[in-house]
Amino acid sequence: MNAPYLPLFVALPLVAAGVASLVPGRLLHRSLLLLGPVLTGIGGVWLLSLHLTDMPVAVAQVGGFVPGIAIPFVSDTLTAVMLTVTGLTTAVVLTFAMRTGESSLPYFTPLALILTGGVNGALLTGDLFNLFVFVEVMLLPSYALLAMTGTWRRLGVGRLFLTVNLVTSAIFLIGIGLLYAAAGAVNTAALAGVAGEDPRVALGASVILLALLIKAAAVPVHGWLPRAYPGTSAAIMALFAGLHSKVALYAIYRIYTVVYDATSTYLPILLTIALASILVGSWASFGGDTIRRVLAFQMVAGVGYILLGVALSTAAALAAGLFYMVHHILTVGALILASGAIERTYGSGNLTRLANLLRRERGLAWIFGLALLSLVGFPPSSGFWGKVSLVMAATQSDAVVATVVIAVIIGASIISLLALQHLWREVFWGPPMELYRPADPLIHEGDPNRPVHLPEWVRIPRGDLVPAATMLGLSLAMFLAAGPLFDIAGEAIAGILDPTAYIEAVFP
Amino acid sequence: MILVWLLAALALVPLISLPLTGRIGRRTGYPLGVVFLLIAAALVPTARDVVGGTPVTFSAPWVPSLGLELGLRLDGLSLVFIALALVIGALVFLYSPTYFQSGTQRGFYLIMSGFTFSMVAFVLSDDLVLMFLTWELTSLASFLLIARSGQAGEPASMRTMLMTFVGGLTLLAAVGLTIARTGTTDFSSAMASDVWQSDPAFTAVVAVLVAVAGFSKAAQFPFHIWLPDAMAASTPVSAYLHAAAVVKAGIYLLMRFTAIFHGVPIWTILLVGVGLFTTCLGAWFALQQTDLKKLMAYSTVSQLGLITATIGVGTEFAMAAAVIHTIAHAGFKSGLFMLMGIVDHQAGTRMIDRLPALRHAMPWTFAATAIGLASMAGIPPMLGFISKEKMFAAFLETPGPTFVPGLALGVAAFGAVLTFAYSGKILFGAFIDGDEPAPSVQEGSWLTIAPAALPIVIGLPLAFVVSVFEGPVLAAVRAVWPDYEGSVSFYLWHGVTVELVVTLGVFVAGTAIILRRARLRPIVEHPTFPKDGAAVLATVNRWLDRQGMRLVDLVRADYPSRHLGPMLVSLAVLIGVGSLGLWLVDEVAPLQSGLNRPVDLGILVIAVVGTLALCRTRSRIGGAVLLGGIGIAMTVQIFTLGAADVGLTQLLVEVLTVIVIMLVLRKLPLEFSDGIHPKNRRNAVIAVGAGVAAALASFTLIGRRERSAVADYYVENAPEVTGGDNIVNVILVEFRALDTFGELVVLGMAGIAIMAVLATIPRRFLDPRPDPSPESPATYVPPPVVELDAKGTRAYQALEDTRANTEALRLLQKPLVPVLIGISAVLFWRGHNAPGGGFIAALVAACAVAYVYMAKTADAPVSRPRTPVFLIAGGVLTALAAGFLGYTSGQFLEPLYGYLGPIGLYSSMLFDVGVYTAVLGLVMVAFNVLGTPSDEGQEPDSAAATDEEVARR
Repeated sequence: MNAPYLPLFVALPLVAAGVASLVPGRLLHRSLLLLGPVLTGIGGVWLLSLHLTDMPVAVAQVGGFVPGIAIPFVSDTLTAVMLTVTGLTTAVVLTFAMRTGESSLPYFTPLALILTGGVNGALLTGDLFNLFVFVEVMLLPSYALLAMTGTWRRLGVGRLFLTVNLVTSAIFLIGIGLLYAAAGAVNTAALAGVAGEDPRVALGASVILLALLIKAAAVPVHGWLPRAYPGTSAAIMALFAGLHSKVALYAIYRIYTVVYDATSTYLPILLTIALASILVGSWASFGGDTIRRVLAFQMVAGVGYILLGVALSTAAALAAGLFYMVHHILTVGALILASGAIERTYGSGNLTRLANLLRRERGLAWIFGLALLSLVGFPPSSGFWGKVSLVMAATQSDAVVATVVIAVIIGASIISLLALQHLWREVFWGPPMELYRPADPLIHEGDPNRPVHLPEWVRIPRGDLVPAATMLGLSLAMFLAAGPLFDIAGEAIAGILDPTAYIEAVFP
Repeated sequence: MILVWLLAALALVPLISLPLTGRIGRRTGYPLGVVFLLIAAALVPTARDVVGGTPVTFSAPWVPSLGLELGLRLDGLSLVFIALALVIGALVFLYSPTYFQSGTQRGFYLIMSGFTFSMVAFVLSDDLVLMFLTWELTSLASFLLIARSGQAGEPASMRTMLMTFVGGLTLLAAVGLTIARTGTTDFSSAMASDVWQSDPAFTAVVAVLVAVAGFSKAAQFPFHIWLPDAMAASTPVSAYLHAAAVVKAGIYLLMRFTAIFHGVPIWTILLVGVGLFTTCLGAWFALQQTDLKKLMAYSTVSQLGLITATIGVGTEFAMAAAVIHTIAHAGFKSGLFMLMGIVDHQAGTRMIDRLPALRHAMPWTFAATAIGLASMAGIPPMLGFISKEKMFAAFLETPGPTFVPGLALGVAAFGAVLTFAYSGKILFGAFIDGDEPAPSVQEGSWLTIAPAALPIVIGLPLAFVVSVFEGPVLAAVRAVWPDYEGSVSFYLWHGVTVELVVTLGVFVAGTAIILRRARLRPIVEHPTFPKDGAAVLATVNRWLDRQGMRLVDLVRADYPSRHLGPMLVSLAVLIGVGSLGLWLVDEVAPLQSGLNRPVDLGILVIAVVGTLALCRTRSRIGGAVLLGGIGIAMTVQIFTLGAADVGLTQLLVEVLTVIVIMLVLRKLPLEFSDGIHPKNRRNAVIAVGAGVAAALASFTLIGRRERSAVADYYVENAPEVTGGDNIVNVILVEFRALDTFGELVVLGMAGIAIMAVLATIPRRFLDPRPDPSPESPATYVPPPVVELDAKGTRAYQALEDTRANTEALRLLQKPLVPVLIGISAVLFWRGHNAPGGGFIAALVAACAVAYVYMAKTADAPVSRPRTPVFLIAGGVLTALAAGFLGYTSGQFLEPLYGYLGPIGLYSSMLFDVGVYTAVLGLVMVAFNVLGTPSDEGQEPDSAAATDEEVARR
């Protein structure tokens, strides 16, 4: 059970960040940049194999104090899954950042590594105040990364992102204060089941859940995400899409199942939020003016689907939600990176400025098309299982809930499909594109916003598509490997639905 | 196992099609057609067993946690559809090489063979989830086939996808509900469940869902619009889609589920009602068309309606009729489509108005088409006649009130009249009416005609030995009704019956219409409805688009208050309602004693007044001062509560915050740009509401329990465990060092983040410019102007002469800075036992830095550019080193204690050093970056990195 190495998931990326701030060198920076997330991913896989065989829960009592006093780092199957997925996603996205040259911006490497460390800490910690701290550790570099990359809009949306997150952090802190006042502890294992029994604790913890819902961008507190994310670069948006909202959702999963003991009392509220997110996100996708804004609204819808797992709070629903989360990280990541590749070559992600890419860009069309199919849930992709498992989980609940949930899923899926068809029509079909906005100053002659005649030879470099293709490939692989993956998801969910092993590990 | 081999073989076909098209181009159709026929032939022995009554099954686990098995089952019903898919597929492949005139048609062969695979897999599925999966695959394949046929096909393919997607979703819901209630994903077991009898409401719901799914693919109203749309695709695609694949998947689904739903009233009503309506609607639309291909498409809609209605009748006899008509339809429709393709090719048009009389120029095509049309119209001795007779007879078995069978038959007969009429229209329009063709119009190649005519011509002899179908159709019926003991019999002549009389009536009426075609055509050939399906869909799409825009508009703002509003309202509602609820249900614990102090009231008043003033002031400096004032009030409260460490920290942070704000304010106008915002009133209400709710929640929850177990532990054990008397400090650097470590990273990296962000912005955008720049007036900020006395006066000099002004500060600097550093060192050292510690000590040292900065005559950096980076990174690494040191005794950050002579040493001191340097570094960054006007304090290489450069890299 004792696993003192767990803090290394935080410490090593931060050591790398420190070194990268001090020592220059392109090769060193690139190696560190990849090493952090890749090692995280490998560590995640290793932990996963550990949890699935002989050690279901691993704990490090940081500082070596008695349990309950020390801040515990805890890893169970769910943690390991998240570490694996976020680590590998980060690695893939960062390769794209390397291609675009963003990774060469000053201090990019330390900032990205701190983000990795923060994510790992947030996933591993078994203490709610410490969760707050690591969420801050995630956020600080994010403020900078968001405002460093992308168009000039990044500064305006940077202010928005910063303000929203500062207020959210304040709400988070209020929640921790109220929770501590009510329960006298902030240790997750010590709080197990308390909020389910004591309405005062439930009130305190609900403020934390609200803060996490804001971070995840659930309706009605979703508006900042589709404003802020498309303003930054594709690489950073992909990074945030895979990390920020997903860490928040992970925390919601854990807090609701462990601290609230998955009590049914508050489920109608969560269900309303989830369904509203699904519907609003899908519908608003119609109104996106750029590829990435459409995707940002799709992320809101995705948050709704993932929340559905908690809102139904059955083992099947939670496992389906977890699977959907991984699917969503990969699929949306692939789409954002593909959009980034388009923007890099054609100078815009605006739906009205792009057209007829199908004829020019076969490879891109395949990647984008398959990823869109995955997003709406067609086989052979991860989205198929995501949709199927969620609907099947919904059918197991009582008649009214099942009817409402299925009706919303059907309606929202149709709307989503239409919105994404619109996206596809605008970008890949239509009359041949005649103008583009090249980044090359030799062509645009000083004004990157000036449209220039699009020559026939212009193509997206193959290498730009590799990261997107990798993400998509993983999504397709998830389709085939759904059997073992659902087994793992089931294990992960069993661990939080019945946290006995978790509690015994923290308080031996 | 044979089933796995079958699927494996079919899965291989798309794979071999890729290299084949590379080698022999569009002639790939020949080998692929032969392969399909070989596969079909290889299946014959198994088919015999199946017809004999022994279904073949296979099963292997795939996703056990969803209950999904790779469950396959070949019975009589699946056999019919597999045979259709393979044989028609083969013919289409043999037809394609000469039909296509250019290109390798790689995509066509790839998707078509993939399509066949998914179709066969669909009809083989014996697992509900697998059935849904393969169903979606066939949707996808049909979409791709239509989408790849050029720009005309694009919108059509989108509509097709939408329609089949809707059906897919309802099928998924049906599948999910079935699995949830029956507890199995195995179709055969689910079918046998007694849920269907015990819960009629549930059965009805699933029946509707399945019916909608089936309708979506079988192109039943209102989903029928996709099928004529799909005409945009090339002829081989249409022939396959219409005769053997997608639409037949819908029919198959309805047939398969008849096993469960055949007695369910809603199922019968839906299938018979919608089916008959569609058959008449489709036939009417077909009659209106002048485009041969569109006509054929509506004809398919109509024929499928007839089959659907027949399935809906729900008897064994009706099922046999539906199956035999499915076979007949597949034959004549695939042939007719391919023949129309030849006409289109050879004559250069497929519009009836423009087509010349082709019967002499294209005799073979004419003959084959005539036979096919005869079958479609149900003229003896064609297979179509036999099957239509069967269906008419089946309608007499329609359940319901006594008038229903007659009505059903009557409507079906009406549809048949129209069918007869449009069949005639094709024949006369293309081959008999019109001018003589130009000599260039010639008969097509036999290579094209043979595969096109074959499925039609073969129907002629088959009609005479129609009993060969009895075995397979009986097997198909038994697949749905396993206990069916009766038999299935087909005859060309079965005596004078009701259906024969009806058929004769149909012939008479149909012939009459054809004879009057010249007069009727102008009346019929215009749209019945003002809008077609595509236009309706487009309207729906536009409406959705507009509403979607509204949802986007709700959050279309970059100013934060729009986004903070919902957050704070949510917070206020949550904790306000939650707290009130606690009071209402009396769940609030009693208040601990001794919490009310008069001093708090005074502090509250100061904070509230300060906040109100802050909201009202237009002066930026005033705002900064008020903010500091509120902070100091909080500090006082912390001190009165006895938390000296926290209070000290808070005080120093307030001081430094004000200094840093002042650095920034110098670059901004003196006043906030618009003091009165239209939304201010609303925002004020939200803010006050959130504040009141937070206060209520605090009052409800805080101060209502004994000291927590954790706090007790600290009080009792902290000095003993850590050797430090200052509990706050040991909590910070030992018990919860990990939190402090995280915040240390946040603080330190804030410095790096500031440098990183500013490095990407050219400095000319950061500092106020002397005058508005013509190209970007939006970025212009007027420099703050303070009214001064005239130049040369003493008052002017007192403010403007920096050297003289800072003289006194510089004089004091010499003694003061060492003193401050000394204080800082002492605070650091005593931290473990008394108020102090690394953070406070660093803030004191930061005051020294601030002092040095202000004592300078010009805005100059306080250090070399890289120094703060070294301090920050060094601080983080030092703290990490303390963490790693902990591993020597077991855990990360585990504190170590030791003595160096008489002095006690703690590893947490090393940690504190890290805190100290990182905080100092951050403060230096603030002065260097924000306090200097030019590129000083920035690394020279990074200062100029702009977007363009990034893009170039």
